Amino acid sequence: MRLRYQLALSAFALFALIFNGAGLMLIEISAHQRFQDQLEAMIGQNRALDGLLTTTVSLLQFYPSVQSLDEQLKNQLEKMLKENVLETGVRILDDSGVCLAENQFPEIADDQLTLPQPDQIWLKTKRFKDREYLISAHQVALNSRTLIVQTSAEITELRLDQEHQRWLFLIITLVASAVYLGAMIVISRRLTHPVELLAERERQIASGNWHQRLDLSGSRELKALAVNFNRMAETVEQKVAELETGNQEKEIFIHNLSHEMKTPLTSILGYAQLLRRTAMKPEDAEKALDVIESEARRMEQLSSRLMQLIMAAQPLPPLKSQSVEQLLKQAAVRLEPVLQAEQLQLIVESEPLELEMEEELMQAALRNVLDNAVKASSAGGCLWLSAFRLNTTIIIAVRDEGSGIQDPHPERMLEPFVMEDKARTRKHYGAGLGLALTQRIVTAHGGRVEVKSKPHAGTEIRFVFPLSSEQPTASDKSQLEKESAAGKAKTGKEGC
Amino acid sequence: MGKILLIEDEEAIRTLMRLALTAAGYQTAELTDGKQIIETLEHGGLDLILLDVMLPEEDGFSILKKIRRYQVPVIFVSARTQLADKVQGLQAGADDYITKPFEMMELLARVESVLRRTGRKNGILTFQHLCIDEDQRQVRKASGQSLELTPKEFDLLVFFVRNRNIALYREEILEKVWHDDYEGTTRTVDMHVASLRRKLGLSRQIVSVYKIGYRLEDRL
Repeated sequence: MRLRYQLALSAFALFALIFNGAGLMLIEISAHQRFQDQLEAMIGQNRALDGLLTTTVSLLQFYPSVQSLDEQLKNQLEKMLKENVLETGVRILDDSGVCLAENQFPEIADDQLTLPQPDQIWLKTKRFKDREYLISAHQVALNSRTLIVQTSAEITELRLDQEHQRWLFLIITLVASAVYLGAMIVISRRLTHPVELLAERERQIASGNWHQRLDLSGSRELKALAVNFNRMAETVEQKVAELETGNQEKEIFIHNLSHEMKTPLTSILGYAQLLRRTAMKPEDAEKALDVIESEARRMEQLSSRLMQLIMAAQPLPPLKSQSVEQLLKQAAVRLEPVLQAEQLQLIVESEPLELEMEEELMQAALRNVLDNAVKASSAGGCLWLSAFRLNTTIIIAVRDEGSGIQDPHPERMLEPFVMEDKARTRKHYGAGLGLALTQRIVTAHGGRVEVKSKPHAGTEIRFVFPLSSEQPTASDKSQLEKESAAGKAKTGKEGC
Repeated sequence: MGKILLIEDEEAIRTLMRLALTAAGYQTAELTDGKQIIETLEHGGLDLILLDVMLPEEDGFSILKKIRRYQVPVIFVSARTQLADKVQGLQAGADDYITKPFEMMELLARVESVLRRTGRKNGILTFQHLCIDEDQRQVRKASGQSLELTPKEFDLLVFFVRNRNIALYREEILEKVWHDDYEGTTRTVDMHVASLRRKLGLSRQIVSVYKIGYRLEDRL
């Protein structure tokens, strides 16, 4: 059963129980009290009667008469009854049960009434002709005779009243119950509404409607409940979104990876079959072998990159605080042969900074970015490799004046398999994983990668690391100049 | 045997397809994207299009929509092997769907199958001095003289002609020509080849290829 009805019904049941219990008890007690009053009145009456009798009978002795003793007694008793105003019906019998006198006593046959014992008052209620009576009987011992005195009081009214009250109460109870039940349902509806709303929202959210929220007004407890509920729903929605994007990203990665592997395989397999089964012209055959080799190389590089990607996702070995200047110097040295071949100049500027890093990995990350810069630049161009402190971060930046990135969101280049110039990348056996690897390495070190670019004007890629507490203090300008002078790589040309 | 248009952005794969198809006797034309497709179709003469699904600018599906009204059969070429992708490709209106990496023989078989299905297969195959009518199942010399071949010899000849210049494995021949009819050895292939050489004067053209089988060479 719904909560609101449970609540209403239990309140109602309680009410009904108490109300009816109390009411009925009141009626019964009242009736009982009245009965007791009546009883006491009757007993009082009996006593009075006894006194009267004794007086009347004793007077008999003093008046001689013609009548027999019995008749005298009878007359006297009748007189007594007539002359005295009595509140009850009275009947007086002799000890053999013959009625001697009576006044307003209901005509109940004698054998219905048992003979009382001496010193005993016998009391009973009796119905007679739709009327109810309270009847008492007792013995009165006089000088020579014993009389049985019976008194009656009508209690019909009493009983009727009681009936009446019961009926009235029944009606009252029905009306009160109806009103109470109605009111209780309304009230409990109001009270349980927030709970039911809560249940409804929860059901909606559980069935996939992550965005639902709860709005409860009312008591402070309910407001707090709503706030907590919404907070929980928020978390659920976020987590679901995260999982979905995570899943999507994985799917895209796998699709791209599979494509990057299938393409070289198609060539390798296809050309091998061609070579084997058809008579190819010598120049075509040469080309076929060429393709097979280069595609195989491409797959080799791809698999090596993948391994690196996987390794970079592992927890890093303990990081050591190393000189950033050294890092840049070494990168420049490694790049020298390529710079010479491509006729490019590299300018290195570095503040004396220290960074916690795994040197080989950071070199690899740098290398990828530098290689891209080289590929994007044309002969005679210039590249900048710098490291500096900016507010609370350490920045390592690589800038080129090369072809730039066409995409309005250049950070897309950091995604796996995304290439700026597909042909250019393929020429170098790439698959678009270099920057993805770099990003992994940088994030593993606690930093992030930023990409800025203008098509045909150049690109700048920055590694941004949060500052650690231990850094060499001020770096003066002269120091900086010395570094940049020393850092210039030797090439055939002076200046950019 | 037919002219086939290749639309593929990767040069190596384009070349691969070209070499395989020309060896088998087809003519080819090439495009690297969908830009000039309408012109090429207007020019006419195309019997089939091999269309790469993942092209750089406009993808295969939207190109297909554009060219459907020209009613040239299209085979999709793609690295996506998921069932959903294949179904999507076929439902979009392609006549067939081949996934990378593909075997050369598979490419040729699918091309032939689509050409046959769309009625663009030439009824008459020619090979040097021979005219082969596949519907009538007859072989004629250029001079008009009719030649007698057993049913299996005829099937074998057609298989060779449709896969000319390509070395065919004995097992392959047995499977493709004899299907499940014959559970014998490849000896029967050798016997039928000898018969063809003799009856059709193709001793020079049907060449034995070491460790593989036979190749029908288009040489005089």
